[in-house]
Amino acid sequence: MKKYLSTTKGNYHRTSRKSYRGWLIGTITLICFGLIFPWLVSSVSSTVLYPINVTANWFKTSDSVFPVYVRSRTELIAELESLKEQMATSASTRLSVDRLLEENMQLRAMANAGTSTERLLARVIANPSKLAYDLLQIDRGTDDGVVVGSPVYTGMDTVIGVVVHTANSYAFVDLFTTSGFETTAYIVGPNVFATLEGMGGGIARVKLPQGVPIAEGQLVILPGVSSGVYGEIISIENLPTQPEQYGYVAPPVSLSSLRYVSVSLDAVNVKDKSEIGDEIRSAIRAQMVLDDNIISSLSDIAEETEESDSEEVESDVVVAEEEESDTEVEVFEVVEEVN
Amino acid sequence: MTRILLFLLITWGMLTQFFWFAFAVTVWYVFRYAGYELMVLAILIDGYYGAFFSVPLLSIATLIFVLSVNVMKPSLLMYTEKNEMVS
Repeated sequence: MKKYLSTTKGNYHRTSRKSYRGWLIGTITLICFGLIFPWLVSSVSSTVLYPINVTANWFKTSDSVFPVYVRSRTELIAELESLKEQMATSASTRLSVDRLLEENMQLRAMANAGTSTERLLARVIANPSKLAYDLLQIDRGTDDGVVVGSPVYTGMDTVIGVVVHTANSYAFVDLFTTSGFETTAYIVGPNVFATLEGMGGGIARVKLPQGVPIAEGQLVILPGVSSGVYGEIISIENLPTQPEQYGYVAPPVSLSSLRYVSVSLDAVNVKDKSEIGDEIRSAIRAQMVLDDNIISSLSDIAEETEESDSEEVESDVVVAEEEESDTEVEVFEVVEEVN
Repeated sequence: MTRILLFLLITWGMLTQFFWFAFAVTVWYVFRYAGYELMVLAILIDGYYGAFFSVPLLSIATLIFVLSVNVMKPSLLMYTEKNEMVS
């Protein structure tokens, strides 16, 4: 038996402990350094992993002979069939969509609302099921004008997430369905606002109190993003014993089948904590300062109150004097009876 | 040479769709070699994904995983009477 096992002489424990400590300290130092200077670590990572990233992208997207051969012809045929099917479906509803779009634009112009912004077409390099994090990777970066906070759309107005990290030639998109991601949504039908929270796996949910009439197929809009339709309610969880009900929301296109998205070059207005704090403080200070009209009306009320108080005091004095004279009379009568 | 190739394979797997394959290779790699360099790789990948702007979960998980395996490894190996390690 011993002949078939590979044996190694040496004290394993001693050498292990030395390297163990060194690597532990080094790694924790690097992680702390990364948390303090995330942009620096990001730049270094982009540079170091650039060859692998380029090779991977070339392998996945290139039309050269070798990658196409490896990716196999059947995948391309399936994509072609899928696109043909999509074209056939979309052609039948194009007229209605055009008419509604035109009407929407007119109404927006009348309401002086923001119109469509400049878009940039991007190819999806990797979807959440193929990445370590629940993110979408696209092949456009800061070189193309993509910035952190740019909304990402599928189709014309279906917003699926916002750019959360950018490098020169690629960017990562944080999806509204990412677990823990919360945003305010408006549900068309019951016409209520609710918090849309990501559940992961391409699903988000809205929590509403019992009694709000939500139904499958109702449209969910994200008011924080211009013309941001998110998707529709696909399922409802409603237990009569619970005080709330949940509507599960999904975008019209499966996130795992996304191949192209468009990135709006206008970033969502992001404010940091200090800006929000300043705004709150200025609002509180503004509340403390009363308007001139309010001050004058308050002073009028105060004067009226003072006048009525002085009248009451005078009447009280008269009543007290009358009561005093009455008691004097009563005391006098009692003294006479005693005598 | 094998170690370098495996390391590149894990890096490749983490940046492409072969995530679970990379995980399986990583488990074997950490057990076979010490695999401390994987912690640096995890930090680089977290930097690549921009995870240091929030919480670098991959780095922390790799740190815990690699150290756990290396702490447990002596218990999982067999030793002869002459203090020879059998892998």
